[in-house]
Amino acid sequence: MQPDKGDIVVSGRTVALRSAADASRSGISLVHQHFTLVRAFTVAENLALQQARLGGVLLNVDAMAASALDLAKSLGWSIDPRKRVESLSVGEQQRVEILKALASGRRVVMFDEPTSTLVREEIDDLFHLMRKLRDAGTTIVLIAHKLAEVLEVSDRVTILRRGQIVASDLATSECSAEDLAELMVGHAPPMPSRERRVHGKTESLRAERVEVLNDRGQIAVRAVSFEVGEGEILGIGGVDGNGQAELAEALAGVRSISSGELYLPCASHLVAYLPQDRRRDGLALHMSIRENLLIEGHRQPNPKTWGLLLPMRVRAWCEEIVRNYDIRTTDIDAPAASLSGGNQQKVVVARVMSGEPRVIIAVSPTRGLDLRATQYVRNVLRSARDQGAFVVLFTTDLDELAELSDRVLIMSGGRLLEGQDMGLLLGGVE
Amino acid sequence: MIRMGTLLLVPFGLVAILVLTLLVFGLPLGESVALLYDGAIGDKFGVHRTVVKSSPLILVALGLMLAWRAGMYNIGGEGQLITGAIAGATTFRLLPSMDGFAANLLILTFSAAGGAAFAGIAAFMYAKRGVNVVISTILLNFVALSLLSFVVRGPLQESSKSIPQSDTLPGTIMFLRFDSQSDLHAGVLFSITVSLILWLWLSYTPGGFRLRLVGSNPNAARAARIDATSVQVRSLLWSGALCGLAGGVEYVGVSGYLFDGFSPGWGFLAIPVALIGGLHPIGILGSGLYFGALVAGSKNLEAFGGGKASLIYAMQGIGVLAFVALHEWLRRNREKVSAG
Repeated sequence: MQPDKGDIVVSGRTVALRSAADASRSGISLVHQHFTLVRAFTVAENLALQQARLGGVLLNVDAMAASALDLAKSLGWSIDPRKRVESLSVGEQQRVEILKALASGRRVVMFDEPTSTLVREEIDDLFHLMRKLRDAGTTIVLIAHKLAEVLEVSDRVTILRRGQIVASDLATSECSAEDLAELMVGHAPPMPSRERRVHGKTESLRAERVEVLNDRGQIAVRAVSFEVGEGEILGIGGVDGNGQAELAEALAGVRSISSGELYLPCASHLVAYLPQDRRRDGLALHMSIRENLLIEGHRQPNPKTWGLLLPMRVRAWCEEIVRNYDIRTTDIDAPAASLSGGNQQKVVVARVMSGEPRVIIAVSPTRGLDLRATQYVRNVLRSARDQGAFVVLFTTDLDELAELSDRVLIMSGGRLLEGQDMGLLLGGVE
Repeated sequence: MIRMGTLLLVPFGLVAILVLTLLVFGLPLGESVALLYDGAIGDKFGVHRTVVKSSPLILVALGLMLAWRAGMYNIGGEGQLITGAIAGATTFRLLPSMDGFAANLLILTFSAAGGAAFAGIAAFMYAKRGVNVVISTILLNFVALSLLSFVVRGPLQESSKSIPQSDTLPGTIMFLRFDSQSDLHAGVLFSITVSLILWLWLSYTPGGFRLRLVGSNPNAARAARIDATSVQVRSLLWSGALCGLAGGVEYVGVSGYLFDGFSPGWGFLAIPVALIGGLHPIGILGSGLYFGALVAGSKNLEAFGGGKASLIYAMQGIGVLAFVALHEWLRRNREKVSAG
């Protein structure tokens, strides 16, 4: 990616960075949050890939990886170059990723959220390495949202909010977590803590010490407990990737929980799930709008005739939904892919709500929608709440969190945090 | 899967491919077409031949279609057809005294079960270990061929133990023949019945809808709390059952015994039948009859003209290539339209 405007200056010289190779020549490298390793290759092969030129008839992988391995030795790391990357722990994989980055440029090394998948000891090792590199003259840029880590390892802090620098060149030694938190969220809307709208019934959606694993088998949700009452929207905020997706899937019954207890106030088919990625998980894009509406509807009695999905009845049922939810289309037999983003989300919302759910799990339900569609989706959630539904709303948007929620929790590092200072909570400080 | 307009192009395309293939093979066009025509639909016997040949093609293609629509690319129709026939012949060997309709029913049931069990190996490996179904089902074809070769020389060999084939079914168990002079048997009704049932099931039942949804986007199915893996596994088992049934129908309807060349590649030829039939049960009925006619006609061409029966294999290959190319072309056109 290239800047539209402005200059990048490295050591007093303006550089034009047209590619990653250009950046590498200027001494800039990046340690990716999601590793860019070939899992089936050995460590040496992965390190050899970093070499600019892969020419000749025969590859001498060992020779090509030699300098990176020497570097590992000088850092005091013992890495077996013959091991396959997939057999390494996450911390070890990150070391390989770091070696790759260092091999391509050591003047400026950037770390993008490097601690998100590491355990505490691995984080200590990483910070130790960062200090060592700094002392050897390398500039390190650490992109992080966890305040404790920023305070622990950095010398100076710059804060970005919605693409703009709101504070720069702060000396870390003179900052407190509270200062940084305030800068991070700005004048955030006051967080609601409305009285729970208990309708006199004792049933509730309850999680007790629930743990959930992610796709790689790591713990993504750590011993989370909470309760949602009837007619309540519980907002769960936080920076993306802190376990929200896994918790939402567990609540929706799509992902199994590895320990703890989950109590639903209703049968599982009355739990509605609005997934975050509607194009991947919400719609069958090549199927028609009619068929997409049936994804939940085919389980309900209304569109069916003697248990069958006969065209007349299905069509009438779908057309009513299209009218009720104001889905803008002229042809319900057109593929869902032909709809605009807002109308696609309306289809997902419509079919999910058509089952008159008792529990609604919504993940970033307005992401990427225009103002009208956003208001529309929020109104649907509010009116469901007012009719007594149990709603859990996951969102990264603080305004949405404040506007919709009756109560707010923040998710950080797989835990649910409760408190008044949004910024501190987002930074993982309770 | 395809719009109606393009659907009408398919017969024209198939005729064009036929003409081109004949020209490439250097065969006299008029004479060859006449021989093909005579052999396939020239007289009552030609028509009977065509219907009989298309029966296993249609049943296997329907089976393949069922799995493919769920995203399970079963290429093991040949193996499942053969194991189905072996299961049928085993049933007869174990219960030689039974007779009539009950025997018919029992043999066909076990044929279907045999095909399903054989597809079940691939389904199990997919569900437990994520083994690619294309690869496992292709390889299982060769296992089935070897198994057939073994049983006709071993456990299922005929009583005199002199030729590598199984005992012949008595005429009372064989399907009813409508005409003593032709092979046309009552079993061909299966292909028509099954394609109608599948068409209705896929279009109008919740189960059929779930299967199509899983094939279209398994992630969306999972998010809607549909067990996509279970739907896929069941689709592959039913797919195997239909292929096995095809083997059983051939066994009880045509040959009456097992031998090495029991299937002249029905399971492979069914792949283009399913594709050119647009993965639609009724389309498959049509494309199955067309390929059945080609098989029937090419025998005539081989006997009286210069052609070889291998002609149809060339046509089948060209047909699939043309179909895939057409599909891709349509897809890009659609994307261009929606982008512009």
